[in-house]
Amino acid sequence: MKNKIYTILAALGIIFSAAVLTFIISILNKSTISYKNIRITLVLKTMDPNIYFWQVVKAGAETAKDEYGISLNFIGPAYENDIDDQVREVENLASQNPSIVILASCDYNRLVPAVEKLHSKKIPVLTLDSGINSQIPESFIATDNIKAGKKAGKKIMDLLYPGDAIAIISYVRSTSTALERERGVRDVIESVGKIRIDTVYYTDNFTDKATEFTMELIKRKPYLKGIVSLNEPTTTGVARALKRMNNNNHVKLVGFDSSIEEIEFLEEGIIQALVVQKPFNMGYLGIKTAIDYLKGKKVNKSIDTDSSLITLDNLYDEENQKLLFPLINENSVK
Amino acid sequence: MMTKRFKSIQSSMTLAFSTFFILFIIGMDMVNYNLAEDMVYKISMENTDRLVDQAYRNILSYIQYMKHISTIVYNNKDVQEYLADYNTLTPGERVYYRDKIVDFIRSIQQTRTDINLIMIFGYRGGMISNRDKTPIKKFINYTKQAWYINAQSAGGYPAISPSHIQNFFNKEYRWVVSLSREIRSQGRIPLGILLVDLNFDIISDICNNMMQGKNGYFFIVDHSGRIIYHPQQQLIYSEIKKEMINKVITGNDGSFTVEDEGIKKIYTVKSSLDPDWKIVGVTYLNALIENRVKIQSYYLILALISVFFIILISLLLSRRISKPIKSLRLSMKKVEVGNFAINIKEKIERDPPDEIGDLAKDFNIMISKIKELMSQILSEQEQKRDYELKALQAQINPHFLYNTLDSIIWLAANNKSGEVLQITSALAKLFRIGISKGEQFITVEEEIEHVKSYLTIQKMRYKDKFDYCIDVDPSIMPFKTIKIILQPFVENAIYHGIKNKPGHGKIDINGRKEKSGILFEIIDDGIGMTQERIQEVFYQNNGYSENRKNNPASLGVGVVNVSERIRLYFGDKYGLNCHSSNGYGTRVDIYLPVLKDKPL
Repeated sequence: MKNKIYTILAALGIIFSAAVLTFIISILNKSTISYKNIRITLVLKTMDPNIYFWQVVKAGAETAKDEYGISLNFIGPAYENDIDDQVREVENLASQNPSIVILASCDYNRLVPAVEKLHSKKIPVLTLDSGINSQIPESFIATDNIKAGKKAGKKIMDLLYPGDAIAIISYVRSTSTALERERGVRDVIESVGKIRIDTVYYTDNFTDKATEFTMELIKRKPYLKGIVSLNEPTTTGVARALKRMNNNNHVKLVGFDSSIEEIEFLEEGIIQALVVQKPFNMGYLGIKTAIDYLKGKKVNKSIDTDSSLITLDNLYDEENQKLLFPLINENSVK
Repeated sequence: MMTKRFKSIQSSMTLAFSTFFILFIIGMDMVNYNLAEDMVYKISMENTDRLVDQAYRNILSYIQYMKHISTIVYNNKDVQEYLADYNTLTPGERVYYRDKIVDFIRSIQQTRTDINLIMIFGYRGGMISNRDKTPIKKFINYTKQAWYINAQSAGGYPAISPSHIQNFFNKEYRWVVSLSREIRSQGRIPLGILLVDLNFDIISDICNNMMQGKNGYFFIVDHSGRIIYHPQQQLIYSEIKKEMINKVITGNDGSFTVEDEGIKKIYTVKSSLDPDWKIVGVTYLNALIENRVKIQSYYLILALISVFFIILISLLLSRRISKPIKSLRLSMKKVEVGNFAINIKEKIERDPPDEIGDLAKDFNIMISKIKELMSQILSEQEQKRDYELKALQAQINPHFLYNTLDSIIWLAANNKSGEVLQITSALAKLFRIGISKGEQFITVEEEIEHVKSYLTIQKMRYKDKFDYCIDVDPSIMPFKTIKIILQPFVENAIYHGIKNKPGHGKIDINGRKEKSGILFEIIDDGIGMTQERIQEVFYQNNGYSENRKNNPASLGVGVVNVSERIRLYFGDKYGLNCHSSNGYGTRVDIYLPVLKDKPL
């Protein structure tokens, strides 16, 4: 009789202990996910190793990965315009159950259903570089494009005399980044009123189209003293046109982003300034924000990864060298 | 109720046990954890230290090697002559030297893939590189570049310039570390600048490979804090990350720990003199911190389980102790209300016996002793009553009564009314005192009156057969005594001592204080008793009945009755003593306690 009671008590004890154990473990898991259990998937706009920008984003992300000891993998379509592929890949993530997904969306609207699917599976999503038309993402890590546009606008203004006219050469009419950059340029120029914006043109993101249009534009409007071009292919196209026309510094050019070709144009004096984003920081901050979110810290709804204005004077400043040539092993043009 | 519970043995034992063990476990937890942390910390530190040392030696030997190469070029005769005599050389001679020098530096460059570029800039003119035919960009003003200026100020010794982009050639932007040196003639005249661009991959690879699979990174800064190599350089320039560069360049070699946003890092610094760099290894300790949470939670779980079992065990243990105590107490409660028929043996006494078992055993013994005493008292009371009853019965012995009445009749018939009055009043007194309303205790005075009355009656009957003398100390008169203790011995003296003696006899009754008691002596000078007779009269139970048979006129209260009553009331310390010898009489001593009042 007595022994029976003791056995029951012991059994109850073991059950009780097990309950306490699972309770504590579940609490620990919830409150502090350990770094090595964090699995982040970063969805790039393209996996193309020749697209410098995204390779640098990757390098930044990997630096954060090493620092925190998390696991990280990259996916993304082979080409930036293969939106269907990116949608498919994001949808597939729902079954892979990563801790969090960081998405550099190829399209403002078409990735929304895939993100909603992740959301329904309780997988948090952050957006990087380009946002989507949804309130789901916990944070948006990107360059403040209005601010970047203002830098470009101020620079072209400084380069010109009062009353001079400029053209803005943009890329895709409906892209939020293009619109924001243009608005930044306009805001600063129109608020000062020193120079005027004569023309806005869209290249649809084709370099050749930018070159052709620029040549035609300068012939047609010889009074133009400056051009602001809003992304890398466009800037390259405009610079090629100016070089081909033996412009001799008659038309000042302020462009966006950096490539080896653009840097050479800058060195040659065809481009006066470049507004350069910081993809390394973008990658690093993307991962860091994701970890902060998972660790239960409050994250800002939007995080500015900043931009720099590069001119020939500061091109080889210590910090700009690292910004323009972030990858040690891949600085030569292929 | 609550406080009562907490005061019980069970709860206080449980509380004490639990408190002790919880403290013990917490203590162990802390000690263990700290030991583990120290150990991991030490191992990390030693690891980093070793890695930094290795990286330091690799980098240094690499730089050393490159310095040798610069010395080879520096001392080359063709280079010296070409630079020194550039202005006086004919175009043909210039081409001749140039080709020879290009061949020479190419042969050096080809042995080492990590040499990106070897270039010579003559102060008097002439620019030669291993990439002879590739022109450098026309807008580049190399004399304003850091490596050029550094070489000029280094006074003919090699200068190492921090990593930078080499942009001499079209579509080529390489990260290099520049080793530059001013070439001087034998007469110490500056001739030009030698530039050896080292592929930066080498240094970054050394740093990266060292940390392969490790949780950390290397960085290198020069004496002024400029970054030579840092994997997170951009983050630092953007102020997303802070690096302890100031602490590194102002501090000494060795290790220190930094906590940044909850992440602990170990910094290990090693300085090199030439180049004046500091090589720093940084190891993250977050793995350790995560372990801490895990270890602590395991300890917590362990502690909780232990606490549960401790409570269980102490409950059981204290139950084992307190339960028999409780049942013991229950048993005692029963005894309290008068139930002595209790034996807690089967419940508590166990094998092997413990303290509680012993206690129970003793308790049982005590109870049985009490039981025994109770029954003894009971039987003694019964005996007392019995003896008293018999003593009383003896008082109203009809033989004695009609013998006395015969005497009265005879006296009355002889008209001796004075004597009739005397004997009748003595008889009345004898009965009054003998019965005395059922009281057992009377005063010594009354007892003396009683025996005096008896003697008065017997004296009437036996006339001159005997005389008596009563000598009692008046101070003992108020003391109490049990009644009818003297008369039986007087009776004995008359019937056994004096009656059978020829001639006159005498009886003395003395009473006085003796030591702490009262001593009565009844002394006769009769025929005395044999030892057998004494035995028979004093110690045999039936002595009195025989006595009565032989002497129908006696009151017949047996000597045994008296001695038993004395024993029962006063204990063995008191009683009587008889001395007798044939032919010389008998003497009986009765020893009683001094009783100021009758006992309850």
